Amino acid sequence: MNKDALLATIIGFVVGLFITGLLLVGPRLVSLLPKISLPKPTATPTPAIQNASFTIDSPLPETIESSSELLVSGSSEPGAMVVIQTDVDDEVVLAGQDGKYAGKVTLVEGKNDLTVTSYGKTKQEAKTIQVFYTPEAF
Amino acid sequence: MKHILAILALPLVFAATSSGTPTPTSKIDDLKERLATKVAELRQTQKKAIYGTVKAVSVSTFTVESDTRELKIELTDDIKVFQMIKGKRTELTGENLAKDDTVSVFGEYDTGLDLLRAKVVVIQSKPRERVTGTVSAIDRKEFTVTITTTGGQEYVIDIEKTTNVLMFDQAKGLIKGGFSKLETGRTVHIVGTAVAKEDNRISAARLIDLGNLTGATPTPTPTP
Repeated sequence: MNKDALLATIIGFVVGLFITGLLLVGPRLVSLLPKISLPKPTATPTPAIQNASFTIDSPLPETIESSSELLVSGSSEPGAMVVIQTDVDDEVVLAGQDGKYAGKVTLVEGKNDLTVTSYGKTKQEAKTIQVFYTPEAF
Repeated sequence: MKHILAILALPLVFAATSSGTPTPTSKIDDLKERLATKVAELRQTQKKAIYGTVKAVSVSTFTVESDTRELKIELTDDIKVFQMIKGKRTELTGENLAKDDTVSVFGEYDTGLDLLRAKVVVIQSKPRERVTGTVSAIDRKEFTVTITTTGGQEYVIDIEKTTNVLMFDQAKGLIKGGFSKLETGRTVHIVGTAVAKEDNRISAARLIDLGNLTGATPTPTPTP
């Protein structure tokens, strides 16, 4: 056996021995290592609902509906009076303490301009979206 | 010797195992690729609706101009055309479509060709006018109400015999109201049609009385 082969064998043996040693002793060594604890994220208080923005959560703009009865929902100022309007129907509801509102209106076949107006204690806001309706399957 | 060889082979085994197992990154990449393919498929043809005015009609296509764009519409063989005539939903044909018709077109939109293959066309009437504001004057003789919008614009509202006047009651919701119950300072929503040749005048189809939301003191109006 020449010198190079012998050296390679020895190096290989040492490397293998090291890995085997790590496999056998490693888990125990890991448990002995000092534990690093990350700081826990502190709970941040949720922002006051009073500042919640006025939204139409459902339906989304340009939605194609297959039913003429449409459920409209979203968020507004808590207790706000919310007027939901289409060309053929109106609904007035009061937002809950969490600011959520929901109401049903009727749609006409084709395009419908859905307008939601919120009357809060301090401000009036309105949003209009387009919703399409056809009972035909396509 | 066998043991030595086995120990020496260990690093190789580790190397082989680590390269053979799919990493979470490769799994995510694969998932991303599949998702992108699906999205691309969906984008190629998707259900879409457009509202606008018919600008041009030919044998197999027509063009609709919406508020934002102009779109070419392909008339398919199985197209259905509807229109409300005298309150009744009437089925028509593609030949009934004419220039300047206000339509809603439902179909499959081809993003590649920027073309909508029409399946359903609804010929619609022009949308009604909607005005919101505070009642600033009432003419009980002429059956008109003047309202002022938040922007300061004044509108004269004609209360017709057919006008549906509704009031909001917190316990009962929308209930039947009446012209005689209207007072100045009350917030109202009007849906109606613009009176021809008269600016800012609307013939009301519906009036919703939300009550006095502004806290304004009602001014007495002379009774006829």
